[in-house]
Amino acid sequence: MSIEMTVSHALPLEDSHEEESRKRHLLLDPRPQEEMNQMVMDSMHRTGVEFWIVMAVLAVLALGGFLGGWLYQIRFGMGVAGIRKPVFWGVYITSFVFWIGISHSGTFVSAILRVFKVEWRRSITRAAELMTSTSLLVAVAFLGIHVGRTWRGYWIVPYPNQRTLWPNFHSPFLWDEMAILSYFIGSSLYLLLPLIPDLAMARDHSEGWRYKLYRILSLGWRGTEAEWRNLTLSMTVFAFAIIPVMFSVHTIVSWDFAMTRVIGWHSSIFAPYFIVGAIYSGVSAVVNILFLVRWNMKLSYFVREEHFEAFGKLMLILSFGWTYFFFADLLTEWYGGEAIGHTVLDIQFYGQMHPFWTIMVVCNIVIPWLTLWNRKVRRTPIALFFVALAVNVGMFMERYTIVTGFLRRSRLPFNWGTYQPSIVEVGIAVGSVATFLLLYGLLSRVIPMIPVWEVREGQLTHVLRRFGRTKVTAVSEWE
Amino acid sequence: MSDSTVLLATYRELDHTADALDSLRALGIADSDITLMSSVPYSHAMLGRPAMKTVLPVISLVSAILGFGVGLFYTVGTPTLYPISVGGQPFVPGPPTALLLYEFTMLFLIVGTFLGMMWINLFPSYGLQYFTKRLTDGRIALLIHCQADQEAAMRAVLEATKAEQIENAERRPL
Repeated sequence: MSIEMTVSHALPLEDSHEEESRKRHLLLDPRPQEEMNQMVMDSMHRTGVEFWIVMAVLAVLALGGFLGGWLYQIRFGMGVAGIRKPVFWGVYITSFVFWIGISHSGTFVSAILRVFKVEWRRSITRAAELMTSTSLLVAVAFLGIHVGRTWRGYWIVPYPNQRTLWPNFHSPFLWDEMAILSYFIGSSLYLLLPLIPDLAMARDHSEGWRYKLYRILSLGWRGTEAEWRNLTLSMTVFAFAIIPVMFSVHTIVSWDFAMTRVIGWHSSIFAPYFIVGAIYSGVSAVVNILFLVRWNMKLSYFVREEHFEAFGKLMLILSFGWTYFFFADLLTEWYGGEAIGHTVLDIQFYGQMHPFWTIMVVCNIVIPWLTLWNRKVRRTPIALFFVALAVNVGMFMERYTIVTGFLRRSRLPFNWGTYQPSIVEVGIAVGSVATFLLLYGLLSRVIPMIPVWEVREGQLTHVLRRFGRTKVTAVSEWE
Repeated sequence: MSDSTVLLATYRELDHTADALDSLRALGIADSDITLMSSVPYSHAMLGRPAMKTVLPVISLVSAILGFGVGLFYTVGTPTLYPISVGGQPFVPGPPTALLLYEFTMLFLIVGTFLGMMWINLFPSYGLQYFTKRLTDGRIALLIHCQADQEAAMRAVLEATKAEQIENAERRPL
């Protein structure tokens, strides 16, 4: 009798727990693959009038601000930019570092989580990987914009020539070139590899121009054992190879600064400081993009609160890491007691850089620490979206402070100066955001944003298994 | 050759597919005469198939070594051809050389692995292929090359193992 009573009371509780688990976790809530394919295909076709209006506005900003500003600068020369002696690195280099940082999102979210077999990553890797490739394109453009005579960019390509000039491989700028080239090629191929089966899926569910496009892009994929074996093996090689390349990219970007004798830049802590900052801004940018993708493409089945919660935790941990390096860097300069070091710090605490420095501290430390400890905030996509947006504003200010702040003061006071970005620089910087969003928005309608096969694989390995009075998630090792 | 045939059977369940493979093997069909296609990467152990060997790791390794060699050419060879004195550093300074060797090695490793995957899989391949669109909707397909006089026995085995559809395979554009 007592057993019967226990069972009769336990069943409804168990059912509700099971139902709740399925609602929360994508991998416990399987649907037929046909249905998932259709959801992804529908999301790519979802382009209403509003979408095209937004794209048109972004195109105007991209063409007017980014491309127009760049062409204007080419026509009238670098004098239209606000960079003057002694601040020769301004908004362009700030934007370059910022976009390189954003590009770390894809590799971090996709490769590192793949290597560590973090299961919740499955549905959101594509959105992050696509960010890497698009943001790298924008970042590289800033190098061309900054150097002025963009058309002579081929001078940094090593090839035998009559001038017997050869790129100087001792220079950090050449290291930059190599690291960014490796990272761009690597991350683009890393985007393409797991995309091939999804492009084949799109091919089999499309007609007209889309069919022709996907037929070419899917390379003749059929899903044979040999194809899968070689694809998954190359993805493993890529995942392990792209992580150190990712670290090397931002390390070398930091060495563009640290290899100089500029006060505040010449620091051995810059490499890890930049990497943590890059991952912090990259992960925050993934949250922003995921929110937009989920809302605009109606992909709430694939992108759930569990993903935002996980990203919220990651952001909190990364904010601790970033604050640690920020404080260590600050303390070393301050405690050293050198007059020039204090002069550089003073313009951040009280001087020209104070507003930017304050925004950085508020956005990178205060806002995340006040909000992200709260599970409800982490599980509310719109709330996390605004926290992530704040972090990205803060990270842009951090780069602006580092790039333009420290150049204003040097050991020789006659060489002190200031910096005011010109309208052309601001236009190009704002236009770069529009360019990124435009590229991403258009590509999201062509590239399947959810790796359906990876989600399916995850759903096959996750089950609810009874333990005592309740059911818990059990995960099988696929390989 | 005229008395050979190709059957395409699709399954919904992995277990049924594995049963079919066992039965086909019992009928004397070699594993090499059966091609399995699926929308997720099932391992050979799940299907009781022999492990597949691939030369991709070798290609990756050779690519990395090649990248190291190209890196050596640029960092050691070209400064010798075009000597530039920089900040009192030797023509071939240790740390920058190590850094560039690393970048070249990784670049070639990545590109080589990708090209290797393309080469082994014979990508791109836009010709006519044995294929069914149902695959990308989650089905598992078996493509069986057999003698025409074995076809009836094959079909019986495939039906007994709950194949969803059995047809004489035809090459078609993907």
